[in-house]
Amino acid sequence: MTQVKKMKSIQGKTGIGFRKDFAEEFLNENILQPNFIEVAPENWIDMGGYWKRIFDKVTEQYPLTCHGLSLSIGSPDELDWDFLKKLKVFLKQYKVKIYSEHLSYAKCDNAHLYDLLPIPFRDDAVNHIIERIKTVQDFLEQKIAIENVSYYTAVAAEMDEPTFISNIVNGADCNLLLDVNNVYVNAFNHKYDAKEFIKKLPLDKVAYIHMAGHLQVEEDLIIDTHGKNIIDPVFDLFDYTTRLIKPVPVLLERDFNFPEFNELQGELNRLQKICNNVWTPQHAATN
Amino acid sequence: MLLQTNTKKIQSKLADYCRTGELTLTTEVNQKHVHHYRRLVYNIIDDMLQSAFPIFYEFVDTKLWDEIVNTFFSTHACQTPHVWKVPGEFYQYACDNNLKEKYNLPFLEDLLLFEWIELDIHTMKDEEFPAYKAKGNWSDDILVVNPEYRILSVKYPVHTTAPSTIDVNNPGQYFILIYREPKKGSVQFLDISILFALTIEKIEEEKTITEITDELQTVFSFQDKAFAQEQIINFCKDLQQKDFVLGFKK
Repeated sequence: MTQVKKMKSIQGKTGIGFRKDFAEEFLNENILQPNFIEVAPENWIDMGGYWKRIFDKVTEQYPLTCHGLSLSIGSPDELDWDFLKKLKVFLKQYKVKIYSEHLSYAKCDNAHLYDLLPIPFRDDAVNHIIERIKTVQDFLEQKIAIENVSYYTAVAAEMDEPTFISNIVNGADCNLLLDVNNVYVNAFNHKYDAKEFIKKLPLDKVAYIHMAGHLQVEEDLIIDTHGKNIIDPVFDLFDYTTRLIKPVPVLLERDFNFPEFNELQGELNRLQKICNNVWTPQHAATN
Repeated sequence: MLLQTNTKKIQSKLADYCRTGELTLTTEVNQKHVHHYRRLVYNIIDDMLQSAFPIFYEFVDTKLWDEIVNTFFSTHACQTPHVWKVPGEFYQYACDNNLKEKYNLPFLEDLLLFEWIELDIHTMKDEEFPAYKAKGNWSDDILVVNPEYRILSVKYPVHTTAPSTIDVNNPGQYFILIYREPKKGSVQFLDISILFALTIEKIEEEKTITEITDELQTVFSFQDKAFAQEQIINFCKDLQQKDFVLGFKK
């Protein structure tokens, strides 16, 4: 199974974020069957011992995508070249074709924060980030995908979010990781129409989709927790989105509060069904 | 730098708020919701340190824990891009800022070191294991040991005694061998004497046990050198059973 599975394309297929929390169960049981897995490279680079063995085992069985946390593409700080060098080795070693990062910053004033802070939607930030993405892409010798993040306050914004994202993605000639749940969360938090928002994005650049659950913490605020099941309106928004773009890999993010594998597989199945409904005929026709 | 000073300042202020909890941004952010960033960022650090230092976390009251973590995060600029390595920076911060005196916890550095090294050994990059043969002469062949280990020297028995019962008025000298068991990757630790700590150090210098016993004779003035050598050999045989001594140099 393993080698054949790894050779298959993951376009139009569903995968899951691989977590240490369920690693052993995942490898020992056959209940959860994603088409690929995703990890944060920061959590595995420099790792040895037990976890290295687990990681090598799972990456022998599944195609791997990487979703970074610490590149801090929107940071005022210099790029971390030591980290980038290690990242490049890691991506090559595990033959990672999709490497994505957040359109946010996680380091400032030479201090890591380990979370995703919102960038001011401004022209100078756009130009700054374009240059950084180009630099990173040149160095890694591959395109990266940039994710629209959820945010809980705009920060000194001088343009709207879709303009900010589009200008960066087009200017840097990078890919877009479209997090559909984040669009839903932001539409709720910042009171805009999610579908209209999606239509304004550079949809020809979408190379990857993320789906997740969230938590409403205040009457007027949702936090993107990855700790609950995907809700129906986000599935609906996903269905809407798939009709606007070419087939891409779709990832289910679940970071804690894990349900039984059957339940996770149920979510993957539901996502895959939508993918198949929308993409399979078109995909077959174009190949 | 294409980023303008004003934008950079705003980003810096938001980051600073997440680290310190002191908000200096006004109209630039939503005042009602911005606190979630401080909460989320702080929780990541707090959770990481709680899981890395469970003994210390259990020992201190919540107020002191919060004070220590808050001061650490607000004054120390975390350098590692890997959040799981932050506990190592926390240990170094505690030493650099002499927290053991500040909080009158003489065993603090020893305890944090012990807890951090356990984690560090578990996750450390794989070392290349040297070639060895399974059988040899215990007295006159050079032993080969598992390279994934550390020997800690501490003043308080943090590895055997709960912090609340440590006699802080009677520091001593304790040695802890911590290593990664090669088959399963689990971390083992052993309380060892100074004699055996020095033995391991000299094995690393590629000395035979006969040579080691001769050298240690000058340190310990053994009454019965043959008996001492027998004890050292028995210790090494036990370590072989425990997957620390791998075998004999080829």
